[in-house]
Amino acid sequence: MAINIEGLSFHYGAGKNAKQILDDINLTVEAGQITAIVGQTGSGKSTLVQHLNALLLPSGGQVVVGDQVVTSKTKEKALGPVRAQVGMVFQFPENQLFASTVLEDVMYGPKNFGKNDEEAEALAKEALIQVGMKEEFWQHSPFDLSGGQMRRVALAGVLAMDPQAMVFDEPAAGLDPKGQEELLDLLQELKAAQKTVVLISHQMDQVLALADQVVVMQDGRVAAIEAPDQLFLRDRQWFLDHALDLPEPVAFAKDLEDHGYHFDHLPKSVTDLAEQIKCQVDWDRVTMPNSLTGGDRDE
Amino acid sequence: MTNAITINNLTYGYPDQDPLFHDFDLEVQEGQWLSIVGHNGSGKSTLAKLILGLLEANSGTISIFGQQLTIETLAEARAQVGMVFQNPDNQFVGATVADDVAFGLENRQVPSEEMPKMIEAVLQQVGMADFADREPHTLSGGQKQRVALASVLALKPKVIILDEATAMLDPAGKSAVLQTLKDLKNQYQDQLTLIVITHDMAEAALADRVVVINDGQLAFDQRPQDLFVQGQALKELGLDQPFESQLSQALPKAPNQYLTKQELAAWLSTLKD
Amino acid sequence: MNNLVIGQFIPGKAWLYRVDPRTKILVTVVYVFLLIFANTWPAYALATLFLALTLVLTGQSLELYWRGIKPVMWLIIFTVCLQLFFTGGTPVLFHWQFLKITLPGLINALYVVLRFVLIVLMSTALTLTTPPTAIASAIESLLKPLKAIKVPVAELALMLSIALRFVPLLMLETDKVMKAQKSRGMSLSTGSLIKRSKAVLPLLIPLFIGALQRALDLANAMEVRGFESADNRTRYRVLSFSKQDLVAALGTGLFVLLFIGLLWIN
Repeated sequence: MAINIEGLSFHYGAGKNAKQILDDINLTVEAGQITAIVGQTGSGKSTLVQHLNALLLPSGGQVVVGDQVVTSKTKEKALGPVRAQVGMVFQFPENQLFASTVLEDVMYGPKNFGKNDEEAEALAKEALIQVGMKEEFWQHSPFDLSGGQMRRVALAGVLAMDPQAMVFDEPAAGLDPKGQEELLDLLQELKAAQKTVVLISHQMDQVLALADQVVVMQDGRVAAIEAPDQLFLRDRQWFLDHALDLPEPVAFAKDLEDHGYHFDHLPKSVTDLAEQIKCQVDWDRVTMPNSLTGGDRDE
Repeated sequence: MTNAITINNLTYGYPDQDPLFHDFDLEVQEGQWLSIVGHNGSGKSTLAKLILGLLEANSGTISIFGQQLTIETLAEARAQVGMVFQNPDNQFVGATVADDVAFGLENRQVPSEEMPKMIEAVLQQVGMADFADREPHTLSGGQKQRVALASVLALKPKVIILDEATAMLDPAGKSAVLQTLKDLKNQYQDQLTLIVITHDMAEAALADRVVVINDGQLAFDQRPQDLFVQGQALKELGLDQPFESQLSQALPKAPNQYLTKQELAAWLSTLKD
Repeated sequence: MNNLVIGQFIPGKAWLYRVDPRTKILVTVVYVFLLIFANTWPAYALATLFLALTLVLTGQSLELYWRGIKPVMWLIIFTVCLQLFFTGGTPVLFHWQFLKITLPGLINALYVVLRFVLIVLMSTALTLTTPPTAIASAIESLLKPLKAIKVPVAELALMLSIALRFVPLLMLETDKVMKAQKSRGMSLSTGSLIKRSKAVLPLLIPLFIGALQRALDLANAMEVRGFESADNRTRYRVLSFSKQDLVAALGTGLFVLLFIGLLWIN
């Protein structure tokens, strides 16, 4: 299911005190793809994604979710179906847990969207398995779990609604490396299951590895919409101007390019980068000196 | 060298759970920059709370500059050890930046007329002097953490513990906090002992010594450059190897020591003619 | 986002900002108290003059105060109607079906509106020019005599200032949890009353748990920074009376005398 944003603007307040947050946004979140939204804090990313499931209504323009059009005049009653189709995982979603057992909490969404108890339970169990929560925890209180486990339960709570599209706002924030990796795997699984995924992230390595399309936000406007292999070809200054990091392999490759290296394509990972470096050096001629200048930082 | 912190035979566990630490030993020398790393749930934050007496050990001893931590010595220990916590919002006591820095000074009964100068000075150190009258909800996470650092600095501690202080920050906030730490360490040198608890390897790389905690045990205790070359071992502990170490190990030949990104790039550029 | 003017502090440098918060609180209290007795036009004219002078000394635009009054407009109109239609007496000015407007009713209604607006604007002038922390320490200072009868004034003041500091945070948090649960289909506007009150739990429980977690964290942070008891502390913000306070006191004293004089003549 694609989501179309057409001429979207959004402001708080009215008249002279109105604060413009989003200005003339046009973009399409393609069905079955991963769209990353990046930009510095305060650029409007979070406000933008809250329009995708009608938590905020546009001040101007419209958002088309599947076959439903959301405008400033859409009635509260018409928003339910939109929210059933677009799941939203906020930053630190573990803060939304409330029920007395893990299973009940995960069943909350499906039940609200009209599933009966049995259907909701089946969906909840499926979602819990998908996020790797073992059955032994299902009857536990969510508040007895570790931070990482709570995060999974919260994710399951949105997955269980079986939405066509899912929005993740910094889903990996605060997780340790293993937790982050599992989360990225989950996003890829969702894509494989033909779900539409929107990801807000500050971690450009993730964006490069996962996204099909990147939306760069700045000051409430779209600064660029491109595939990552295109976007990260831009020069360094552009990223500085937009307060964005470069993925580490890309940044390193750009450094080496200043020293005569050439890269056929954007290195997507460390392995990719290493492969491209390998074939540009005559390794038989490389001898290892015993000590390298500056190699040992303490001496 | 004196020990800033000495931990001997520490045993601690949350009620109804397996002990998190069992016969745990650790010494931190004065003036050291130590990183404590480990995956979530490895016990690293618990250790910080034990050192500050926010939790009480089941057995074993913790000494701060040779003075064993007990109920009687707690106040004195806390006068020497400051701590910055993970959540920027939950440690901001004052209604404005200046009031927050003042909070600790007020507790220490610093005379009112001396406070403004001290507050101004520490806010200067963390680059937040222009924000003295701002309220916390108008600040970014990184700014709040720098205020937290200033609040700690105002009390002139000999040891500062940062418990995942950058985990909830965006990259800009994170690098601002880390830069502030580097500046402080440069300024105070051996007068300041830093203990940085993290799972971010770039943050750990700033330290002179890294301790890896796994299941309440010391899994590693090395210089960062010696730790980072051990890719497989780190992975097994649920930790990342820094990018530059990953890259040099993926190359056919590389110096068998840790190189920073700049060093690695410089070396590679000599190979290309 | 926040359009409420009443209760908000707006930083500034005008004269009233330099008046000690204790003076401002006392003046406001005296003013509100006197208004209860105002029952003649000259008294209201005097009170309005005093307010006008105060507003000028805040250095804020009149438009701001207009915005402050707007949200309570309906409340004012409602009270006016009550006074207007339900006060008896003669002469009757207007009569239609069961509705009738009398001259005493009309005068009463105007008095009520004036009193209401004067009180709201005076308190707005207080909060607009006094940061919440200063109000908290002023209250602490004014309540100090109660320490003699074992009222924990210092603790109460600290609690008040911490509570004030966490209000914006809790509002943000409420918005966030509300949106998270709405995304999971929460609806507070449908169903029976019992169903609706049950529907609030997914909102209240996370907020409660979050607040509890914050409280625990905050307690740790306070303890680590050497907090032991609210009493044995010095103060960063020291309140001190100055020339402005003398001027304010004299001005208010003059107002009080004139006001009482006017009531007396009547």
